[in-house]
Amino acid sequence: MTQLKWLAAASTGLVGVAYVQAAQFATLDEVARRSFPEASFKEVLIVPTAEDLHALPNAPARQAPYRVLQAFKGEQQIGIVVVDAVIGKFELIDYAVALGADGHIRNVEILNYRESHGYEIKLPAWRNQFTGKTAMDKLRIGEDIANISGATLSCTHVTDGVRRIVMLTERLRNAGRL
Amino acid sequence: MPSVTLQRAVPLLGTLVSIRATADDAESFHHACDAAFDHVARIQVEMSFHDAHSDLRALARANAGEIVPVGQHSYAVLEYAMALEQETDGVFNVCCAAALVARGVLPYPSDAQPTQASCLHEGVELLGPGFVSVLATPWIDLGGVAKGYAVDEAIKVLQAEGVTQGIVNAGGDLRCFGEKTCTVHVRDLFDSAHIHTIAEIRDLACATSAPQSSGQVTHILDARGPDHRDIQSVTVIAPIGMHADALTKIVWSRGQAACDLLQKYQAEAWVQCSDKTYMHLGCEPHFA
Repeated sequence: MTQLKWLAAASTGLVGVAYVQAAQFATLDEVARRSFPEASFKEVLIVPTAEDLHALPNAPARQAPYRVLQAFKGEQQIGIVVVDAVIGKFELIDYAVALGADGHIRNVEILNYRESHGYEIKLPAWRNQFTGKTAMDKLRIGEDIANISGATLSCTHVTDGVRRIVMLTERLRNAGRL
Repeated sequence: MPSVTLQRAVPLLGTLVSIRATADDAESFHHACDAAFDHVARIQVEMSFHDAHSDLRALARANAGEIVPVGQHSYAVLEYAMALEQETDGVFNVCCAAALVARGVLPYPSDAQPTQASCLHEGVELLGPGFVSVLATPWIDLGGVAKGYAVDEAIKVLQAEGVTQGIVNAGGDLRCFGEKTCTVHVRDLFDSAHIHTIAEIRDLACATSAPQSSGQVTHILDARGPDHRDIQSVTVIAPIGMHADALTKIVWSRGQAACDLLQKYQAEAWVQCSDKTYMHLGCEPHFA
């Protein structure tokens, strides 16, 4: 049964509330279990060398190690799940890519999402800007991104990140380093 | 019976698609989500101009006189786009891919025939589900309506899996279903860190387009230009996601003149203007 109730805020033109979105969608363990049901997992780090990075498109100059869960069926490795983080215009996205032993992508899922609009919310100086303001101006930390209409993010960076991970892991696999 | 409310998100449709829903247990939730995300991925394959295997690229490769088989999703959206093009006297025109390619938003389709159709009616005739007759090679982009359609389809899948309550959000095109009311927020045009809490909805869809300020390129290429007060962001609330999505473009272009169409689709709009004023369209709002 449909219902639409416009809220008074929509008519007043008051500036909206400062709002920092953050949402937790999945943990690495959950994504790993969904991608490789009944597998056992071992956590390792992939540390790309300078040469590795040089071979990747759009790779950052410095790359932190990738956190990886190797998936095993008995003794045989059947795939990996790689964690990466990308930064968009305002958004910070942690995501995980599951790859089969043949290097094909089995799954890509968002782990968590948080926004940063240049505000360092932990800094007292930033918090102080809200001192003395009315309730309308108070900071709110959003619990989910489900209800904000209007896109500000594209997944280009995630797509680029996935591509880099596929290429890197293929390179490492061919070199016997994975 | 105890239930769980969970959420998951995947990158799809060039953005982030999230599902938040209530199910009997985690297993049911994830099973339903798997099905819904798979379904959206299939829609993406059919309707992506980026993907050379898509129906849209097949149409761009076709010469006049050819009959091109298309998937059910592409057909459904083309059918709606055709009707809307007629209803809006061409303001809503999905034969805009060439301009988007020129602007670097879409990839250049090296395998395509030169674009010949300036609008959908010039380019295709819909023969019946699954088949499109090409009248003149069309370069079609469905980006202005595909996310809304995908949200509708995702919800159909969730409901078929027994989920009775939830919200699907595809990059800001969202729709909620079930008994629970959902509060809709829209980003401020001038400061994206601020939101306006504009409405509470139940069993409705909501889409927002802010083409000039979002940094994302618009699909609105109305050569006649907007004949309205300087509307910069349009939010439409409608029963169906595909309609909400498409109507944002028409309201952006037509402003008050879009009211009849809004009423026809049982939709209402809220717009932000460049002078920091706001308008409601298509309704006489009663505020809570």
